[in-house]
Amino acid sequence: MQIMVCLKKILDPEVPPRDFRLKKGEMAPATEGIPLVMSSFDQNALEVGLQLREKLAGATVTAVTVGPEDSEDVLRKALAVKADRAVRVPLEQDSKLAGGIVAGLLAGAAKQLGADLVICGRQAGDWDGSQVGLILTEALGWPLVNLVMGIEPGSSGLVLRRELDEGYEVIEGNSPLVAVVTNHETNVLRIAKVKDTMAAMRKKIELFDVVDSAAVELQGGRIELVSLEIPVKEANCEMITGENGGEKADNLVKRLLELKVL
Amino acid sequence: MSLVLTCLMDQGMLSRDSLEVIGAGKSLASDLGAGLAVAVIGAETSALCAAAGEYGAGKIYSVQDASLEQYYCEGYLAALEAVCRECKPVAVLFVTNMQGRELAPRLAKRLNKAALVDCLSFNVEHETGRIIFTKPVFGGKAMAQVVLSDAPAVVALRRRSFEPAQQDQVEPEIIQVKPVSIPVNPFKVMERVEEQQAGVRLEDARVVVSGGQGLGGPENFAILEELAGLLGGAVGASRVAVDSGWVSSSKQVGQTGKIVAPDVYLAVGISGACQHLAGCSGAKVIVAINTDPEAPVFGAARLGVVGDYKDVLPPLIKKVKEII
Ligand SMILES: Cc1cc2nc3c(=O)[nH]c(=O)nc-3n(C[C@H](O)[C@H](O)[C@H](O)COP(=O)(O)OP(=O)(O)OC[C@H]3O[C@@H](n4cnc5c(N)ncnc54)[C@H](O)[C@@H]3O)c2cc1C
Ligand SMILES: Nc1ncnc2c1ncn2[C@@H]1O[C@H](COP(=O)(O)O)[C@@H](O)[C@H]1O
Repeated sequence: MQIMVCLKKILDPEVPPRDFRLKKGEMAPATEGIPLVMSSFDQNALEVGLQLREKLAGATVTAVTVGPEDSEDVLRKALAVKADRAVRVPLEQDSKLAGGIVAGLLAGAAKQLGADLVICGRQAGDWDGSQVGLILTEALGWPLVNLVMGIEPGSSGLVLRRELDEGYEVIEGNSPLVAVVTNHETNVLRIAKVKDTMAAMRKKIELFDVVDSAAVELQGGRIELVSLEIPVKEANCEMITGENGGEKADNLVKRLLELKVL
Repeated sequence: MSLVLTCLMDQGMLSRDSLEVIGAGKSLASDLGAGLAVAVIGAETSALCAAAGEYGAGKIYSVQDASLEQYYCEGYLAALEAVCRECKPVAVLFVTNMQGRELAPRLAKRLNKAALVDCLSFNVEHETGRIIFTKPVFGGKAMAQVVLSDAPAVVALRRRSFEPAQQDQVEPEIIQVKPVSIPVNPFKVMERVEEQQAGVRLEDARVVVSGGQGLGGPENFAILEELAGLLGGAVGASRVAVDSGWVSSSKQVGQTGKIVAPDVYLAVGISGACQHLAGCSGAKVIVAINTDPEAPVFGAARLGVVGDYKDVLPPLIKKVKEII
């Protein structure tokens, strides 16, 4: 089975609001001094792919990213946790909220690879688009399983565990399919060994030139960004004081009663 | 007359999600000078059609088929595509719940249009008639305003961001739509586990006590359970607590978890990442208990306690027992 995992390099989503700035005159965030990382749900997606490969003889995991040359870092990170292959599809501009273009390029890459399972994260932690995996499903004409926590080989086909609003379900289906992954305790990305990280630096990254019709076809319906702003939030936190935990607790209950919320 | 189409995902009764999307649909329709339509799907839709009529839907598009008794993405998608081709709406609204999340982008693609997920608000620009949608990006550290250039705009609205519709009886026109074909569900359900929450549902609770990484381990959630239980509330958690396996993922509060709007939201050992706060910013009073006075959570809280939860919660429980 050819497993393709889609990875995006993003501005560290954990930077606190006080360090988050916008570029002057541009509808984009300032990047100076902020680390760039693999999007967190993509880490979960990669782990799901790696675990499935371990249970399926002959399966391979190919990490794919769409982006400029410096986005290859995420591919190196994937190689360091032993992805078999790494592919970059060049795209110079950050696609922002225009998920259709990226989805089209990823669909082209999936075809070129002969993938039978494509795994994406549920949303990229930068623009929070939450769409690429779903548009990709349509572009490939495959069935979708959304909010997947883990995938195992079944007696016939694949067994997927997916999150529901209250609880979960286990479903069985056949590849090809697209799985969109959510976080779960079982899919936290493993840590790379130092020697594998070193070895990953020397591995080859393949460049796919996907100018195929899929991408162009997908441009119907444009999303136009008209403004990007940092919301002003006024802090009005009232600190509850006290000599010790007991006093603080008493004062807290007193205030909650005064505010009529208890 | 142009129409705003709101898509309901219920079986039998209108849910809070549906009332919110109808409420939003009404307000968008009135801003645009358009009519309100709803789409209802199922094996037997008459009860739902009647219910939607009580909330002011002038046109109801119903897709009835035995295969649609239970929700599945491929089937409902085909049904909605058929409705859109018939109704030709200017906008299609969903809620960003399990179904809306997957249907909105796929439906938009089938109509060769763009979608927007997790929209917080909208307004109609007077001069141009364009609909400007606001969506949080970068975990809520920035707000983007966007326009979807070709109608229909397909949009999923963030839960708890729109007022539920008020009753407003109209005599609706009911249009039965027959899709060309409804694909069978490509997946077989082997097991479904509904997590029975003891006590109140997290999303309906008037008090939510949430724990994060600062709790240090699963056993410490027991003390949150005790406090929540005393107050008739529910326990929530941050993503780190879920990823660590301390609590089940259905307890996660935030942008990619539950959206709650209780009277009191108690954040214990939670740093207050924007992605977490997105799930509780509708609370009347946020209380933060954190050892770090610089934690961002204090920027969002109404009341703050700097301290170790181990020192504060036991006397808090004692005090609460005295007053109830
Ligand atoms: C796309 C995306 C979506 C996300 N969605 C969500 C989401 O839906 N929900 C969510 O929660 N997160 C979400 N996250 C993750 C989020 O960004 C944060 O990583 C997460 O919320 C942090 O969890 P935390 O506050 O428990 O942990 P930390 O940030 O590690 O904070 C722990 C806090 O505990 C305090 N503490 C330590 N010891 C004690 C003690 N003894 N007593 C009191 N306080 C103590 C510390 O001072 C610290 O402030 C998302 C991230 C991304 C990128
Ligand atoms: N540039 C990209 N390269 C590779 N995969 C991507 C890219 N953008 C998005 N994805 C995948 O699509 C998912 C959803 O992204 P989004 O719709 O942008 O929130 C991500 O979690 C990735 O798995």
